[in-house]
Amino acid sequence: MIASKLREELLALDHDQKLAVVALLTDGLTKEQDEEWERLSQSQREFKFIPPIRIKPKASAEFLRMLEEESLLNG
Amino acid sequence: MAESLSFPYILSTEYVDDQLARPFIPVSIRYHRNSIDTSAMLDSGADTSILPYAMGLALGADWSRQPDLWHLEGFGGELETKKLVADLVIGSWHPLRILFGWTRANDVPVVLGQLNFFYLVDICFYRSRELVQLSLVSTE
Repeated sequence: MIASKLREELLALDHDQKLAVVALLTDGLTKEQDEEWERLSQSQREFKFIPPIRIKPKASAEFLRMLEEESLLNG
Repeated sequence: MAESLSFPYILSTEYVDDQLARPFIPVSIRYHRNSIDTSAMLDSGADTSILPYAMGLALGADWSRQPDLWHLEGFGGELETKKLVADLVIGSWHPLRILFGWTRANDVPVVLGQLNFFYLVDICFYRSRELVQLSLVSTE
């Protein structure tokens, strides 16, 4: 319950306030914890960079049909 | 016959802050009377091409009027996208009609994926040379 409330309040913060919270939380980190934080942050950035884009398994036939109907599969 | 085109991999720190060169190519995207010069990443692992939200707006597209493209999903599940067919110009080639999934996201680059870009263009990736080579698929 407390975690839920805290999460709600954190999400309501603006960008600068979130950065301030992160700075506060990371201030006392050990070197190893700091490296782990950086690694996780990096993976988050990479995740945001290009989410894998997939056609839903059951939609591929219709998607291809749509492309064919609009003559988009050949130049 | 159209010439093949070669482009070097480039560092694009606009979307991710690292030192990894990626296969971005310079393109022009045309939609109705609007045109944008930008760079697009060739992504052989993406099923479709993707257009970031702000770029669709800059091209004059209206989110509320574009048809839903419900067929797509991302890593986290459902991916809200609209269908947007635009002309893509690379170098001196004639425009290619590309189907984009126009996404609400802005923290992604323009992505050129398998359907339908890779149907129209043959691509060789030379990671060791940080070079990508494109040639139009022959229709003869």
